[in-house]
Amino acid sequence: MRGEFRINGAIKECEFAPEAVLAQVLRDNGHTEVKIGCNRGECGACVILLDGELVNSCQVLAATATGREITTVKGVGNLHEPHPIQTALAETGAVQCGFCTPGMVLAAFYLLSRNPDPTEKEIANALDGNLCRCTGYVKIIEGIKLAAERMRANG
Amino acid sequence: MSELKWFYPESLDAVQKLLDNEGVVPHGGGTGLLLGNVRKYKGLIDLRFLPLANVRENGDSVEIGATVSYAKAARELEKILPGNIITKSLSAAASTPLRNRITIGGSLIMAPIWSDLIGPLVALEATVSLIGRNKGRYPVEEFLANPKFRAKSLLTGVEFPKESWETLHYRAVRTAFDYPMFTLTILAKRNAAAFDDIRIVFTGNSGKFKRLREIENDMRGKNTREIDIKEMVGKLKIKFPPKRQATSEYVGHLGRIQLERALETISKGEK
Amino acid sequence: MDEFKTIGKSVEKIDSISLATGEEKYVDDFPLDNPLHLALLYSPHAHAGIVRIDTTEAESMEGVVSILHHGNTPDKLHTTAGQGFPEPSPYDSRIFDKKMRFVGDRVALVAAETIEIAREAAKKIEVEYKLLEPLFDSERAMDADAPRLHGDDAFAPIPVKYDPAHNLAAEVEMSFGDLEAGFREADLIFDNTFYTPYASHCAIEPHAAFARFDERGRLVIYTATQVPFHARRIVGRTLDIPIGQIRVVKPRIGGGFGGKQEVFLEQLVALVTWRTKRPSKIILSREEVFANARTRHPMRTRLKAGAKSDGEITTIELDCLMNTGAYGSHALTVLSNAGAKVLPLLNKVKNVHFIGRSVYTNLPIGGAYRGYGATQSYSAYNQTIDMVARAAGVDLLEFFKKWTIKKGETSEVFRVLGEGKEGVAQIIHSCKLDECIDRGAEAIDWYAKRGRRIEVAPNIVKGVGVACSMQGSGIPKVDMGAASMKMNEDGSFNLYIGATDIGTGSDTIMAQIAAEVLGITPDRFIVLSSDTDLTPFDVGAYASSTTYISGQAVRKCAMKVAEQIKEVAAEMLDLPIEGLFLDNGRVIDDVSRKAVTLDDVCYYAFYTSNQRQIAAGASHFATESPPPFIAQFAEVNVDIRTGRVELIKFVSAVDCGQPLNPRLAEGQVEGAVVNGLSYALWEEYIYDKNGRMTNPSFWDYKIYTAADLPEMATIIVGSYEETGPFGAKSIGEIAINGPIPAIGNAIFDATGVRVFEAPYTSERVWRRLKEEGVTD
Repeated sequence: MRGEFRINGAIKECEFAPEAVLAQVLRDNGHTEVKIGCNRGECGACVILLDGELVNSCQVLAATATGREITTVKGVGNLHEPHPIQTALAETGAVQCGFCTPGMVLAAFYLLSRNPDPTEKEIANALDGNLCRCTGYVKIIEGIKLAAERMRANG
Repeated sequence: MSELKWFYPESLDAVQKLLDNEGVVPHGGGTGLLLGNVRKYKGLIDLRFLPLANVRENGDSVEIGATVSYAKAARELEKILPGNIITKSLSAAASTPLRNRITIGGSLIMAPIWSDLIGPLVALEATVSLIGRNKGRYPVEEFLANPKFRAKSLLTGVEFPKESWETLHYRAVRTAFDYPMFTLTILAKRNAAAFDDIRIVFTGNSGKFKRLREIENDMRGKNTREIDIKEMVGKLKIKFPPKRQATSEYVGHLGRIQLERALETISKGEK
Repeated sequence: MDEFKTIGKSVEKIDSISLATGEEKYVDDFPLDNPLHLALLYSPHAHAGIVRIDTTEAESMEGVVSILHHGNTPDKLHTTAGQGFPEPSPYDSRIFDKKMRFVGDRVALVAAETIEIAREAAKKIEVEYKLLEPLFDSERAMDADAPRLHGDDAFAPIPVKYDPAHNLAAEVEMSFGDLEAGFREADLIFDNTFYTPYASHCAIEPHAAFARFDERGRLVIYTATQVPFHARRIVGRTLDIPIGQIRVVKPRIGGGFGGKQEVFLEQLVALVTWRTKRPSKIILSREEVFANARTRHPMRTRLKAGAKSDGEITTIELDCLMNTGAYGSHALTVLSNAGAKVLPLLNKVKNVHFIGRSVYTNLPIGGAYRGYGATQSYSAYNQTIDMVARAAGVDLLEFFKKWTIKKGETSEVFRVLGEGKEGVAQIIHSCKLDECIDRGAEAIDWYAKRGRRIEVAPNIVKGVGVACSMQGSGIPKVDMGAASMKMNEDGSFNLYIGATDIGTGSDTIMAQIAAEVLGITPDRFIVLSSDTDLTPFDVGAYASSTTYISGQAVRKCAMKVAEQIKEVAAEMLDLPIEGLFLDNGRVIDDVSRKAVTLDDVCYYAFYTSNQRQIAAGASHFATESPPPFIAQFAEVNVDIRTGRVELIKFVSAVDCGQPLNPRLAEGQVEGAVVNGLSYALWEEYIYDKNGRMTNPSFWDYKIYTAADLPEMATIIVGSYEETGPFGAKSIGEIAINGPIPAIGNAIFDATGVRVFEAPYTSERVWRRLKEEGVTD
C-alpha cells in the first residue's frame, strides 16, 4: 500500500506492506537514523515523536501513521545545526557507540519539552525505555541536565 | 495469501458493520497486536478516527475512551482525581515510550497476566462498554472472566465512579522497566479510626486477578488498631504461577509479605 | 610526569555529534543494490544428527535464490574466535555441520529476495534428526558415560591439551610453592564454591554483516566486528578465497564488549555473494543475538585457601570449571585469564595451585566478554578475601593494602601462566591501588557503614562490600597494532589505524596521542580506522589492548612524522635539526626562536624543493602487560524478609595510569560497572529441560536502564605507566570485575549470609537467608 507521512516537516510518500512496522518503513525510505535494536519495544533505539508523543516506532504499524507528524533525531537537530541536547551529550562524553543516541536525544527532547527543569531522577525515569550498554547512563544524565540548563538560559 | 486490508472508520456504526466480516479486528494503536502475528488477520480496523480518545467526567463517574494511551489516561485522571490509583499504577507501567502506545482498550482486550491496569479497574468496580455482538455495559470482573465478550466486539471505553480513595499500589518487578510478577492494589475510605470501605486486589495470580473479599469484610468497619494483619494474611489463599526468575513458592511468599506491609501502611494512614 | 597539552584533556569524541545527529552509518545503514537477504534455520534439538535435509519445497518458493547447508558448503574445521593466528581456540566448528550441538545450532541458510521470504522458506526446509542424549551439566561432562559432542577430527591448532573424547575443550594448570605445606601452616581453611551464569553482551546494535563485489570483482565485507583483520583471514581460510581478494570494512559499530570478537556471519555473506554474484546481508534479531551468538562462559569456581590466624594467606587453590557450551570459542584463553589476571593480585601468597578446565555441553556457545574470565574468578577471589579478613578479625581494607601487589614487585604467576603457553615475567611499574582503596572508602563512607547492620526500615538492613581487581593491557608478545600517517598542505594529517573503534572512542584517543607528539590539536587529524584495504593491521579491539598497544604504534608513527617535519623545517630554516621542536602548529628553533608553520612545511615538501610526501608507518607489540588496578565499593539495602537487594551506591576508584581522556576513561568504567550491576543482580540465561533458552529478550533478560541506577561515583586515580603511551594503561574491561563480589560482600555485611550463586536475584538471596535461619 501507499501512504503519506510528514517526516521532519517534509511530506514523503512511501510504499509499504500493510503489516509493515513504521521503524522499518522509515529506514527503507532513507531514515536510517532510526535504529532497530530489538523490534519489540524493549530497547528504545527506534523511538520517534509521533504527533509529538515519544513512541517506539517498531511498535507502530505504518498503516496507522499515515498523515501523521513524525520527528526523528534529524528533525531535532542536524550536523550543521545540532540541538543543545546533541551538543551537550557530545561534550559530556555521553556518546559512546552512538547506537542508542538518537533514541536518547528524542527521549530527552520529549522530557525537556514538558519539563524544562528536571531533577536527575526525573531525567533517569524519562530514559526508562532506552537501553544503553556502553555508558552506564551517568554521562547521559549529566548531558541532559547540562542541555536543560542551557536551554533555560537561552529561553 | 490475500493481502491484509486496513479500514479507517469514522463512526462507531461503521465499526459495527466491519466487525461482521470474518477475520477483521480492531487495532487501537497499541502494542499487543505486534506480539502476535498481524498477518493472521484479514483486516484491521484503525480506530484513530473514532471519538474514543478522551477522558471525560460523566456525572458521578469518569469515562476513559478505549484508544486513550496509558500516559494520557494517567495525565488526565490526575487532573480530575488527584492521587487516584490508575494514575499511580499506569505511571509506573512499561516504559515512557510504551506508555504513549499502550491503550486502555487494547490492554483490557489482551488482559495479559502482567497487566498494570486490571488491578485498579477491578478495585474501582469499573464497567466496560462494548459495541458489536456483545453490545452493552459489563462489570470489568465479568468482562475479564469471559473471553466470549471479545469476539466480534469493540471495547469503546471503561467507566468508574468518581470517588476519592486512599490508594496504595505495589508492583513486584525486577527493574524499573519490567512486567510485574504481580500487582497489589488497595483502596480505602476511612471514618475516624475505622475503615468505611476497603478493597484489595491482586493480579498475576493463577486466576489472573483476585479480589480479597474475605479480608475486605474482616477489615471493614473495624478500628484499624484491632486488626490482626498477620493473622489475616496468614489465612489468605492465593496461588501464583512461576515467573521468569521466581518460583511459584517465592512469588506467593513475596505476595503475602507485600500484602502484610501494605495493610500495615494503609492502617497507619500513611500515604 | 610531563606537562601535556592534549593528553589528559577530555577532548570531545570526534564522532559524537555525527552520531548524536544520526548521520553516522552502521552496517545495516548502507544502501545495497538489490541484495539477497539471509535467514538461518536453527536446530530445535540440543544434540542430534541430521539424517536427511530436504530443501525442495523451500527452494520452489518464489524469491528463494540459494539454500546452504552441510551438504553444499566447505567442510573446513575452524574456530569462530577472532584471535591471532594460529588461534588458541580449538578447531571444532564448520560453517554448517551434520551434527547439532545446541538448541540454536545452524542447520541451513536461506538467501532470498526479501527477508520475509527467506524466513518463510527456512521454515519449509524439512529436516530429519536422529536425537542424541544431550549433556547440560558441565560437572558431568568429563564422565566416562557422558555424551560426547565432538569427534576425533576436531583439534587444537596449537600444542595444548585438548581431549574431545572427554568433552575437554581446554585445560590449564599452574603451580608454585608447596600446597600441602601451605595448608599445614594455616590456622584457618576456607573452601567454597561460587557460580557465575551465562550472560549476553547486549550490544544494542545486533550482529550484522553484508558482502558485495567491488568494481574489479573483489569481495567487500562490511561487518559489525571488533576484529576486521582476523575476519578477513578467517573468511579467506575457511572459504579458500585469497586474502588479497577480500576487503573488510568496519563502519560505526554499536557496541561489542567481546561479542563481536567472533567471526560467524562474515563467512555466510561472503559465501552467498561469492556464489550468487549478488550482494547479500544478514542482520540478527535480538532473539538470535541472545540464543545463537556468543555469551559469557558460565563458571564454577572452587577456591580453597589457608590462612594464619592473623590473616596471612598461606595457600590458594583455585579450581575453575568453565562451560564453553557447544563449541570451544575462547575456551582456553578465558580460562587462563581466570587465573592469570587474578592470582597475581595477592602476590605474597607463596603456595598457589590453579587448575582450570573448559568443557563442552549442549548449551549456547561461550566467547569473549569484557573481563574475560577474570570477572568470573574474581567473584570467588574477592569473597574469599572478605571471609579471611572477617575470620582473622582484621580490617578488610588494611588487608588489601597489606597483601596486594605493589609497584616494583612481581608475581610468579606472570611468568608461569600465559595463554596456552608460558607467561611473560614482568615487574609492576605503576600501582596506586592503595590510593584507590582509600579514596573509594571515603566516597562510600566505609567505616560509618561497615559491619553496622543499620536497619534503615523494619527488616531492611544496610551493608557495604568491597572488591579489588587488576586486568592487563593487551596480550604481551602476541598483540600487535599499526598506524600510518600522511601530511596535508594545511597542516592536517590523515591518520590510518588498524585499531577498531567500536564505540569506545579509540579513534579520538589515537588522534590525541598523535596530536600530543606533533604539538597540534586533535582536530587536525582525519582518522580512518579498520579498513583492511586502507589501514595497516591491528589485532582488533580486545584484551584491553587498544590504548596501550595501538596507542604506542600511533605514538611511534607520529614521532617518525615529527622527524620528517623537522628535516624539512631544518632545510627551510637552514638550521641544524637538533635545535628544532614542534609546538602549536609550528616548528621552532630553540635557540634563534625562528619558526615555520606546519602548512609551510607541507607546501615546501610538496612543491618547492627535494619534493616528498611527509608520511610514516609504525607498528607496536608489547613485551609486558601492565595491569590497571581498581577498588570497587557497593552499598546495598537488603530486605531480610524478601531477599530483595537494593543498590544504593556504587563507587569505583581506578588506576589506569595517565588517563588520556578522563571523560572517556570514566565512561569505560561506568559502562562496565552498570553492565556488571545488572549481571550481579538479574542477568542470567534460563533454559527449559530440553536446553532451549527461555528468556531471549530484553523483556525477560533484564539489563539496567537509567532508572535503575544507584548513586554512582567514579574516581580516576592517576599514575604513570612508563611503558605505556604517555603513561597510559588500559581501562576497557577492569571495572566489570567488581560488582558481583562487592555486592556479594555487601549482602554478607548486611545479613551475615553468603550467597554463592550469582545473580543475586531476590529469590536466590531469600533462599539462602532461609537456609541460614535468618528469615522464615
